[in-house]
Amino acid sequence: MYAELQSKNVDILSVAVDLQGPEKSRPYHDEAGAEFTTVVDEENALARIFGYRAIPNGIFVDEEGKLQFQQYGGFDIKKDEIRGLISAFASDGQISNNAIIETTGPVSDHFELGLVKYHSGDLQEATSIWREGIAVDPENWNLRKQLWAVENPDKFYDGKVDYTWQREQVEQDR
Amino acid sequence: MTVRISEGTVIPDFELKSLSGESVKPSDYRGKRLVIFFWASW
Repeated sequence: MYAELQSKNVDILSVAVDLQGPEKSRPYHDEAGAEFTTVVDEENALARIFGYRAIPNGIFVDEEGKLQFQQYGGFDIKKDEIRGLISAFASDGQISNNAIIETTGPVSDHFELGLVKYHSGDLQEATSIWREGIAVDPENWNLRKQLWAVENPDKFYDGKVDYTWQREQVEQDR
Repeated sequence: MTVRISEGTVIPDFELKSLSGESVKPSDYRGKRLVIFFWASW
């Protein structure tokens, strides 16, 4: 698919959001056989710039860097509907807005505040700040999943992500 | 409320390191259409 996109003067830039750094993201990039560039946002800096608090998201820009379309949530490039969106964009630069899934609400500071503690080695304080963030913003999946990943690395990084376990955690919280 | 960028405006530029260690900016891609997607292994 990537070669076809390139032939239509379309490129892909993937942004991996993972505060534990590139070594956590690289296996997923490599396993997907990805030929496009992946950059790593270790500080979740783009969440603030683009106003999202959950991923995966996609944005489409034209030759001049102007935003043409944005989808927040559900932007998994392995899914056919998302591949369809990208193909439509490549073919004629047009996308219908039908597929937009919006998430709204405040972006809290908890992710960044906890991150400072995490990087200074105070894991206990970091996780406590993230828990506080989840309490005030339960739909903040960036926070929730990063907390899980730090506390339960075996569920995330040992070969594959355990989504069944994640669903169980959400059920327990309810 | 979350502030989103409106369609038709130029997206904010940012600079991040790629997996191979190069600095990459969206503005590097001017002249091409670009799909940026945000994901995590978790």
